[in-house]
Amino acid sequence: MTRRKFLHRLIQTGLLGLSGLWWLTTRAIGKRAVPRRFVRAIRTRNYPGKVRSLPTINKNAKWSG
Amino acid sequence: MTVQCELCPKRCVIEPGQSGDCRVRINIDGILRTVVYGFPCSIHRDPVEKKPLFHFLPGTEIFSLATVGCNLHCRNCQNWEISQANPEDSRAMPCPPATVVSLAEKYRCPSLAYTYTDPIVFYEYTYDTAKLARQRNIKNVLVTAGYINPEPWKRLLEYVDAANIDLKGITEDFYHRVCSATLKPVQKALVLAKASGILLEVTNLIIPTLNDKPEDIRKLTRWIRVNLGCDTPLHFSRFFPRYKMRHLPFTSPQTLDMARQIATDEGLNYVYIGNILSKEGQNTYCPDCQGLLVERKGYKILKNHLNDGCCPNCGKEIYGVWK
Repeated sequence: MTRRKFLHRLIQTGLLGLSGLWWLTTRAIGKRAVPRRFVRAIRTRNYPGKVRSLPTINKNAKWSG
Repeated sequence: MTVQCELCPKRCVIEPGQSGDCRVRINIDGILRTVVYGFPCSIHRDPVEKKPLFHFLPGTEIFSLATVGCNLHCRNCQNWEISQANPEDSRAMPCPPATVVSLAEKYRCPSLAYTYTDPIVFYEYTYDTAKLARQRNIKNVLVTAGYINPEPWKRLLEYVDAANIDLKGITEDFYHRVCSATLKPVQKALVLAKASGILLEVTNLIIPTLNDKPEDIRKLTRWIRVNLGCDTPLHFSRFFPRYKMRHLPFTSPQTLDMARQIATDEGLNYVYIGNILSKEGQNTYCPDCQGLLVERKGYKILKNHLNDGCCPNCGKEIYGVWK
């Protein structure tokens, strides 16, 4: 094998290895996991905002609807 | 772990610690959670005509509630202070489903409305409350934009007695530009609601320059007649400059009258005008003999001439739940 052929084969093997590594990281391992799908959500115990007590309910809403 | 919410057509993919587009459905440790269940921000007793529902238990009070959040972001929203609020910035009251139903009984309200924002985003709270209310002979009413996927919608409709669903426009462009949504799922929800046998009324808010063209109104009313039937009541509602649309004018009474005329010409039997005092636009007339059936002023019933849900003159059965 001539030195030129040896270098050529070395580069070819290196490129093949790199492209394989790229495929593994971006397509196979790195592929985003499929998200868990939900229709019904589960309630939380606490409200994240302020909580006040129930008022007397005797007025019409100012809101539309 | 990432989760995907399959409740509405937005199908939000939510990273841990983040919320969906509605702000109230959150990914906590890889589980989709609703933070507003049992925590309404608004509870009131309203006339049923305010929803607006004109063919459902007229003259009665309806126990109405809402939580914060909405899956639409209409630039004209009248209730944006609660619909576009973050739960963490809002004040709510602890009111689990059993308490809601007990309160409705206490105040002798024959029906419950899930309204003001959009009951779709507090789906689980609505569903559980509606199920309990049904057991206690209280009727359930949804006031919604109908932006929901078919499966959860069908499940919820099993416990619903009546709904007023917004058909905000008749073009995809309008839904995209004004509401951050799409038209097709709303049309599908309307058809499914009608097919489920609930009492259905439709509202269209007319916004000057955006959806007030006569050809759009004709197209919308024609779609309703063909897909929902000519007996489906339609409410044309007056626009008030609010939220991100303060630069547009109020809808003129002439435009509302024009819309009502077009809808009547297209063959719809019950067409109303809302958010404005209108003598004829608020009354119900018999589609056969044109006799006055229900006379209204604002949210008040002045006279109800219906005889067991039928016209007293010609005996025609009028679409609705009258008692």
